[in-house]
Parts: sequence; structure tokens; C-alpha cells
Amino acid sequence: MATEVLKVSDLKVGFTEDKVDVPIVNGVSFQLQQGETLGIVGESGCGKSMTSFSLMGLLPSGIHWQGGEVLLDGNPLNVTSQKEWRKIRGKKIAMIFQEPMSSLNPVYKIGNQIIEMIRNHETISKKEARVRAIEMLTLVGIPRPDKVVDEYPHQLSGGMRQRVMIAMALSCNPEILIADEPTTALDVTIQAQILELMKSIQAKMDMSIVLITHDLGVIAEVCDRVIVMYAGEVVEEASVADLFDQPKHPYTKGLLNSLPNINNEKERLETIEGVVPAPADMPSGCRFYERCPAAHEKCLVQPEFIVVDNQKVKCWLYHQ
Amino acid sequence: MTKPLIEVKHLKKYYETGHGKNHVLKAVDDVSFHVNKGEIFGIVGESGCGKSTMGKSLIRLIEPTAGEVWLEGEDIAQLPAKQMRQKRQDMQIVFQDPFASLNPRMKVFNIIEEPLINFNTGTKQSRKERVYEVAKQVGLTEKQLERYPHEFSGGQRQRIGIARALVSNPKLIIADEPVSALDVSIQSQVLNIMKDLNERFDLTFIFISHDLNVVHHFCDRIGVMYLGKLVEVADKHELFTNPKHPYTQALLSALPKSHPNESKQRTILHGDVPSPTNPPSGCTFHTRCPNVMAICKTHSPQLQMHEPEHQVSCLLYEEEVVVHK
Repeated sequence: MATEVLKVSDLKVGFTEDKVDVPIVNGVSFQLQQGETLGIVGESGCGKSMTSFSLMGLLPSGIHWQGGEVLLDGNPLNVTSQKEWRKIRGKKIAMIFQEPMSSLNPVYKIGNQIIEMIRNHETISKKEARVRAIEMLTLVGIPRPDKVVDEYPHQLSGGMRQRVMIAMALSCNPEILIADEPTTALDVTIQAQILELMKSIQAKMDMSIVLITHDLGVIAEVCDRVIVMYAGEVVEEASVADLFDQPKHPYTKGLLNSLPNINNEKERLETIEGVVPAPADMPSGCRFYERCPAAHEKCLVQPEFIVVDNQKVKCWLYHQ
Repeated sequence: MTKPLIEVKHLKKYYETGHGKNHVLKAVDDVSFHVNKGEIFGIVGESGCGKSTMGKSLIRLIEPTAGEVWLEGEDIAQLPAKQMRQKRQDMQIVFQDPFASLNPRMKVFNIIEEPLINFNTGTKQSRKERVYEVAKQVGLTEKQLERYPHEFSGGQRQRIGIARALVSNPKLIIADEPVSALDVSIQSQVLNIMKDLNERFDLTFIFISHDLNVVHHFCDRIGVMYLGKLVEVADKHELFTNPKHPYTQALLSALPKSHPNESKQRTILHGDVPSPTNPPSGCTFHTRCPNVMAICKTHSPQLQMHEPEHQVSCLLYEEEVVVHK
């Protein structure tokens, strides 16, 4: 059986308003197996990025932990200790971000940024670190790596910068890579290159990946298992094939049906009426209630997860 | 045969980036196409291909460097500024960013009414009725018209943007990435509204997008742009089932799968789009083309009718050239 590298239970993260805790991420739980790619999909404001920031200990100011537990290789993390996070970040868990333009420092050479990261975690000479940096750049398919190592980020294109970000993230051989919308800012032809690269590197390094995206196409392309988030909560968890073949939660169904798809011609797209409620203004029952085509009285009470056909779903429809 | 509503001939927009002949950025380079009345024409391409510049130069929010834009038998590229301003009653634009394109200090009613005042149409009362009418068409309530833009979500704001474009009763709407800032569930709401308008009022659209799935769903005919040029124009079914240009083929193959079990033959393009300030010689796609021939480096292809209603700009399909190879 595969080993469990990461386990998140009942994660709660949010802000405080008038001395009341308002969660943005409300009780998210999942596990990640060694070598697996877990997708987290949801629309803007569903808390998927906040979930990923929590796993790196990188919460924005004003946002804090309100509860939950993170087990890394079976050991609980002291989530409030910055010292502990600094040891883990980059070494055990590394992250790549959506915006390759703004996540590299524009005034440092690319090589120096990678070397800094390596020397933060390992006792190694500058020279050796530089050799490793060039190796990493080669690994991610950057042409002329021995030249690029001395160039600045602005000299590279968006796709190349994302490759540099990946090289940097992988340079300390992390167990887990968190990729937060890694291809959203890129064109489709470049997106295809980067996804291909992530797949091949994962196979080589036996790494586990958490991929956060709003794009179900990207999910179909690279993930093994998926969790669907809505308004700060997980509403469904399934293997990627099950999710596309037999989505259970009305929200997942709505998402899949509202996608235009070149293999499936339809005159009109299905829509999900209405908008996501604001965090301070969440209904006490099911959070999808107001937009759900299958809503009924029971839904005014929060449903529990139930397992149906190997899928976990949080919806009253499946409770007998 | 239906007469085209708008016909674009050899449209160019060059920017000077320095002094001398070699410092010219050809954002739009000799683009020609037509759109029939009631048709939805899609322009698709990656970032920096010039599709937005092209859209804006059609209605002269950006002044084109050269070329003709015939709208119902009149070359509007030659109109003096004052007449052009009036002409914009007939052609309106919906912008990509619903947050930046609405004045935050105006109430929604005034935002939608403003084009009517600008074009001196109707009385106060008739304008009010018209605003209510279009608001209803895009699904905004009368109560919402008294609010300010910040009180609306992205999808709602895009409805306001569409209502504003619609209010002067235009013949053509240029929609520049109108749904790319929206979530999929909201995107489908906005696409459905535009489709309804197209069907009910025979409204013509030029729809600019980078998203092939959306373009496939929404458009009747599609033009593919690469580095300022149209490389292929065809009916949507033809383009998606029988793409001719190697760039179109690569774009389609780069699309993520729509189902995890779908098997997909991938042509992954190597390298990046070259800089438009220094485009490659010959065919501008030759640096990334999987089917490149020696002649592509020196000879630029022209957009030619290859099959009925299917134009392509590629030397693979230019017979004389192939014979000489």
C-alpha cells in the first residue's frame, strides 16, 4: 500500500470580524499518497488557494488558523511556529505559484535565487549549489542552462519563468509539490508543455503533487484523485475518472455541464444560477442551497459526508 | 449570397518602437476578412498575437495604420473623427475586464444610458424606457439599476457592459474576451445571454478569445491569428474537424482533455512565440512549425482559399511552391 505523506484534518482558516471568527476555509480534510496527484478544483473564492497557502504556512496578514491538524509523514505539524515552517518550506513541501512573473525576484540573477534556496536548507558550497542549479535548469528543459543561470527573470518568457519556478521548487528534492494554478497565466501551447513537464518529473522523482486549479481540463489531464470545493468546504471527493463519469454533488454536475466542450455540441450551456455567498454571510445549512436545482427542506441543515460508489459526497440526496 | 455586414481589407496597425525601419512592431499585419449579418465570427489566438489590437482598430479606438473597414458599403477607416463617433452607434464593444470598464462613480442606470445621451437619441422618457428594455434583456432588475458597479459580481458587471453596448441598437458588437475573467458557471450565463441576443435580434458579433472551447461553442466561423496575421479562416466545424494550418493543429492538440480517459495525440510545440518586434523571416511560424520546409524561411505564404469557405496561409498548401520544392 502506498504511504500517506500528508493528511489534513478539519482545516479551518479565516479572519476575525467583531471578535467573531469567520472561516474562509471551513473544515477541509484530505489525504495525499506518495506519488499521487491530487487535484483541488473550485471557482474563485472557494478557498482553494487559501488551503494551499495554509499548507506552506504562508497565510496573508489578517488571516489565521482557526483549527485543524496537519500530519506530514505521520507527524503533526506545529502550525503556528514560523521556525518549524521555515524548515519544512522548500525542503519537504515546495510550491509553485500562478504568476511566474511576480514570484521571481526581478533584481537577482536566476542562478542566485536557486542557490539561495538550496543553501538555506543544505550545508553546501556556493560552487556545488551552482552546479546543482544548472542541473535543475537542465531537468526542466531550459535551453542554454549554463547561460540562463546568469540571466535575470525579465529576460525569459512566461513559460520559461514557470520552468525556473519549477526548477527552484524541486532543487531540494521535496516530497510534496503544491502547484497553485501553475498554468493559468500561460497560453495553451505553453500550458501543454508545462503539464507534460510536471508529469515526467513526478514519475522521475516519485513526488506527490497537490494541484490547485479552476480548470477541469487540467484536472482531467494530470490528476489521479480530485476534491471539489465550494464556498470554503469540500463537497465531493472522487477518483478523476469517477468524477467525470458520474459526478454526484449537484455543484460538480453543474460545473461539468456549464463547460463548453468541443466533443459535445450543445445549443445552450447549462448554468448555475446566482453567485457564491460571501464568507461572513454563509447559510447555516448546505452552502449550495440557494443555487442548487435539487434543493429541498432537508438542505437547511448541514449535510454530512457519505460514501457512494467509492466517492465521498456532502449532499442530502444520498442520505436515505 | 448574403452580403457581408462588415468587410475588412488589409488592415494594419504598426507601432514605431524606435527610429529607423527595423524598429516597427507589426501588431496587426495585413488582416482581411468579412462577417455576414447575423453571424458570430470568432478570432482566436494566444497572448500577443494582436487579436485585441485588431478588434479595437476596427472601431478605431486604436487608429489603424492602413487598410479599409467597410461597414454596409462605407469605408469607416476613412471617416473624419466626428462622423466616426456617430458611426459607433452601429458598432459597439464589450471589454474583457468587467471591473475596469465601468465608471465606479456612476449608477448602473446612467452607465447604460450614457451612450444614448452621447448620440443624442430620444427624450428623457424614451431613453429611460430603452434602458429598462435592455436591462431586462440581459437579466438585470430595475432595482439593480439604481446601484453602483462595486455592488455587483464579475458576471453581473459583464451583463451591465453588454447592456451598455446594446442600448444604442448596434448592428455589430465586438466582444473582446468578454468571459475570460469569469468563472465557468458564470461564463455560461453570459454566453447564453449573448447567444439569445444573436438569435432574437440577428445581432452580429466579432468574438475575440483565447479559449478554443468557448469559441467552438459560440461562433459560426473562426479566424486563427498568429503574430499579427490570420493564418486560417474556416467554418467552425470545418476548422475543428479538418484544421489545415500546422499552428491550428497544434493549438487544438494542446487543448486539455475533456475527460480523463480520452486518449489524445499531442503535437507539443517547442519554444515560445517569437517577439513581434523581431519576427522570423518568411512564414512567421517556421521557428516552431513541425512541418517546416526550407522554403518557409524565405517565402511568406498568403491567406488563400484552399477549399470552399476554408482559407489557409501555409506553403504546404500553395501548389506552385510545393512543385518547386
